[in-house]
Amino acid sequence: MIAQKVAVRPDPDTLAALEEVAFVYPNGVVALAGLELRVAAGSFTCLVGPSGCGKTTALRLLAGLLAPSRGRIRRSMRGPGEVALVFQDPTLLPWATVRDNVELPLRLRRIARREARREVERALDLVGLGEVADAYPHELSGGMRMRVSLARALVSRPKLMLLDEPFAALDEITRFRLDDELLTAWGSQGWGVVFVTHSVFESVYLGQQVLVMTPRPGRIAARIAVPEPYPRTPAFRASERYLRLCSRVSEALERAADASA
Amino acid sequence: MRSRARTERLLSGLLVAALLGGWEAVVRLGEIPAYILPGPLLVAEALWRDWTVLGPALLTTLAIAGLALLAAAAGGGLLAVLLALSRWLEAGLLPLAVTLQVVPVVSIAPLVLIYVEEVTLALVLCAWLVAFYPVFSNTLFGLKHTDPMLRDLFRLYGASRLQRLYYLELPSALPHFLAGLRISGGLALVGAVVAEFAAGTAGARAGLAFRLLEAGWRLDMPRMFAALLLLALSGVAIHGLLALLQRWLLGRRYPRMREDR
Repeated sequence: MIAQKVAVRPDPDTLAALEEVAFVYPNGVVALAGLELRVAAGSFTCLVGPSGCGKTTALRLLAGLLAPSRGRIRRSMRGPGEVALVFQDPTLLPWATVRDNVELPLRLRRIARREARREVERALDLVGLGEVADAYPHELSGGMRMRVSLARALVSRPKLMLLDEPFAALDEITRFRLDDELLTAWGSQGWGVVFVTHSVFESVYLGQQVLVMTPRPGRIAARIAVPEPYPRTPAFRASERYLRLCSRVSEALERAADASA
Repeated sequence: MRSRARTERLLSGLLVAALLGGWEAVVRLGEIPAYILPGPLLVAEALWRDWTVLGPALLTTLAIAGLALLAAAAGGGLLAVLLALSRWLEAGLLPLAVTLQVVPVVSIAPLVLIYVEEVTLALVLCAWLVAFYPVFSNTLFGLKHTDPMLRDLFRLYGASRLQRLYYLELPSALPHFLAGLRISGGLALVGAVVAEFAAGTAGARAGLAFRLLEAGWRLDMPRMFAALLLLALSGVAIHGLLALLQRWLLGRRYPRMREDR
């Protein structure tokens, strides 16, 4: 497959776009070179690539935590809380209860207490955590902690949800379940999602499109559309279509690695 | 588990009894005169007989060490917060704090006693100089070494500097502050004793250190040992109180910090 560039047009639907973005770390490591990436409102994009290819850097650029060395970033969002970021590590405040952790983004924005509580309950319900709202993070399992992290991300009703290998550290059963829960929440909330993963299978199961990145310095090597309608069910995982798409993504990954080697 | 703890306590009790018994036996069998080494029974008798002298002295020393510790907690904590908030202050004041720490208090005490006329205040000041640094440097470390991913999250949510301090840095620093306080507790007592040695306050406001010296001049070894015993017990008591405080403040919220005794 020929490497395709994602079209970047001025578009009211575009939440964030990276245009010809390069990023060089202060130590001289070139993480990204000429990355094109556009995130439309309500879209679900998966980003796969070998480790160290700059996936995380791309997310941090989209989040506005880093500024590009070259190129341009366009973001239609302004206010804090419009972008949410979920890391591989749950990254919770260890001294705060589940409820207080989820409430943190609203506290930081000085949302009135009563409204904040309501939003927190909503977010906890979305990820099925209502029961353990008063527990501390260390009293929960890894999967539960990840749910808290998700609830904190969605409590501020973001427009853009950035997930950096969020379930990579979890066992497969838990990961499958959280994949499904994420899809359900996405279906009802309609954020634009960029989901970074190193699992080909996860990327095809979740995304509307899978972007394959080259090894460092990262660019988009291939764009593979996943035309499967939602809701996606475990039956999709067993289907021929799914396996064919997975092998296409794998091949694209290999080709990208060979081309740069 | 419980019976094991009881056995341990029994064993340490037996050990103390054996040591005291051995001490008494050595003194009696060796016919060592009391002005060289008094036996524990004689020391206990001196403690009882001289309580009218030693009791007020104990209170004085405890008051000096306690005030110094409180001042160290407040001053060390506040200064650490100020330095964490301002790079300029840190660049200016950190070398000063380190210098104060490395100059032995014995050498500063006479100066302090010249400049500060109120003796008790001078003693507190000297003890504070010794006790201040561990709280200060531990707290500063805790404030500055917060989880970088949590810092990213705070940036993403547009947290103000004070919000980051309140919601992230202060709670992160709490265990470090308390660990520093436990070191400072012992040092406050050391500082109080050293300062008193230097000051040589006699009369009603004399502390344990002066009584110790005085007993030495009079070759009243039992009283000297009794004063020493009170000092040791004071140290143990301060340590125990601070351990309780640590347990109470960290409680259920800080899982990994509780087990140290």
